[in-house]
Amino acid sequence: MDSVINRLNRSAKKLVSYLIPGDRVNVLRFRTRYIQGGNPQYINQIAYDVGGNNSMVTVTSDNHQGIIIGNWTFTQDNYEYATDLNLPLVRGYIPFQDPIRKRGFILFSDGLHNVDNDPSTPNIVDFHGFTTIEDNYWPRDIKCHSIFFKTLHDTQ
Amino acid sequence: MGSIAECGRGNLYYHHNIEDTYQSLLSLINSMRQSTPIVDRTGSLYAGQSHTIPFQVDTKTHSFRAFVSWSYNQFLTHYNLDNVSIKLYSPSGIEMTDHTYIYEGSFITIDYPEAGLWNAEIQYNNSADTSYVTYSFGVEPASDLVISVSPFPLYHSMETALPVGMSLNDYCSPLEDASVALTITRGDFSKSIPLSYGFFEEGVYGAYLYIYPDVISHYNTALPNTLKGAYELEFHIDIPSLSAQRVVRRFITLGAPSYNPSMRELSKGWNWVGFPRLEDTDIGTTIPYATVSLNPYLSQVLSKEGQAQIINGSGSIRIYLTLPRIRDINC
Repeated sequence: MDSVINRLNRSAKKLVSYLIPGDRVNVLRFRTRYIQGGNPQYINQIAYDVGGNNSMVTVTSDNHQGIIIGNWTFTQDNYEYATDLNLPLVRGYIPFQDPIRKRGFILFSDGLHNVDNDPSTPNIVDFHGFTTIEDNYWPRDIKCHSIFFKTLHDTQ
Repeated sequence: MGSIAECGRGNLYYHHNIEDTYQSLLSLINSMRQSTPIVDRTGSLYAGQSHTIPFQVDTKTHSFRAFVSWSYNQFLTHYNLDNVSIKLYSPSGIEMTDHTYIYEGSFITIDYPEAGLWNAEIQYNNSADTSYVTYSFGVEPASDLVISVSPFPLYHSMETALPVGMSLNDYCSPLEDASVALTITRGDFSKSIPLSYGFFEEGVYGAYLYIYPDVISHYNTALPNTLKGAYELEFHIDIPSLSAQRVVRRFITLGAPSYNPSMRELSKGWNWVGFPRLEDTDIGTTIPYATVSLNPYLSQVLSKEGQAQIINGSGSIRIYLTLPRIRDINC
């Protein structure tokens, strides 16, 4: 079976293929890695497949989605630890500036994220965990939609 | 994950496999655009098979885009030029095949379409594939019809009634002649509920969603590729005056009952005030659970002994109990 990241990448590309001219999109991946060495630590990383940390890409024509997908800056990386959900929420909404259409944040996830600063023990994000994040970071005028799938953590 | 969408005031969709998540994209993106597809359905095809999907295009539709997206497998390339094809047939029989291929999908856009019954033919041609391909097919119209689902929680206890509603407007005028039905499914369970006009206000079709008696027997049954409590809601909208049809899909998670109603023991009788739906029955007969909200019909419940639990949430009040002696009223 193909890797989780490749399968997620295809789902994200299909999302872009559903867009129409005038839509704007930004696709980002986030992960947590454990760095060994003299000062071992967990670090959070974010990568932009479409757009950047301050910009989005606008679909300009009926075949532009294919061009966006063709320019996808995807690199293979591994699923290692529960991701820090603060990261996409804190960083992901920045490109939403200057809206021209309804805004939404679509999160593909198996629901395993770190909400207690211990990425080695992932938790299903519960209400209290998320409200803490929301209270601190969430922009009130952006809806967050979730597409979630079976938990895959223990099969990696 | 539900709480993320809930706190973010968004929609929640669940799929067992990552590969199937694309099947909710049409519904989700149309929800974000505040538009409503004419068709939004999934299917599967073996090589050599084709599906013909009829759909109604109304006079209010300025243009539409018919979109098919298929699941990845080893026999399909991302930009497949032959294996999965889509054709459209207009009401007058004109065949349209001028489609644009896109990542694991293709679409046809029709401007100023002929009103009436169209047909889409989706075919899978790869004879090397002995398995099947799954697909998602949708028709997105640009239209003056404004359809929106009233907000409802993403998580709800199944033991309480949930009001669901949908407003239908022709630009800004409420549509009164529509037929709206809500179908709720999980695995092999399916139940349809008609929505009544004027439920919340003019232009709003609504009903109380209460499926406890229908699902409690198999709620805990493990079903393949489903999540316990995850139900799909599909609103079917038919507007005869405009020959228009629309469909809206959502997910909801229904929580298990917090207690067993049959465990309530009552040693003496009850006095019901303003509650017209219970009927007197023989001693020892369990009274069926009410299937509509008691609010505003139930004003108070009086009891000298025993106990009852009233659940008050989401605008409705519901009480579950077994009455051993209904004749003891006013005792």
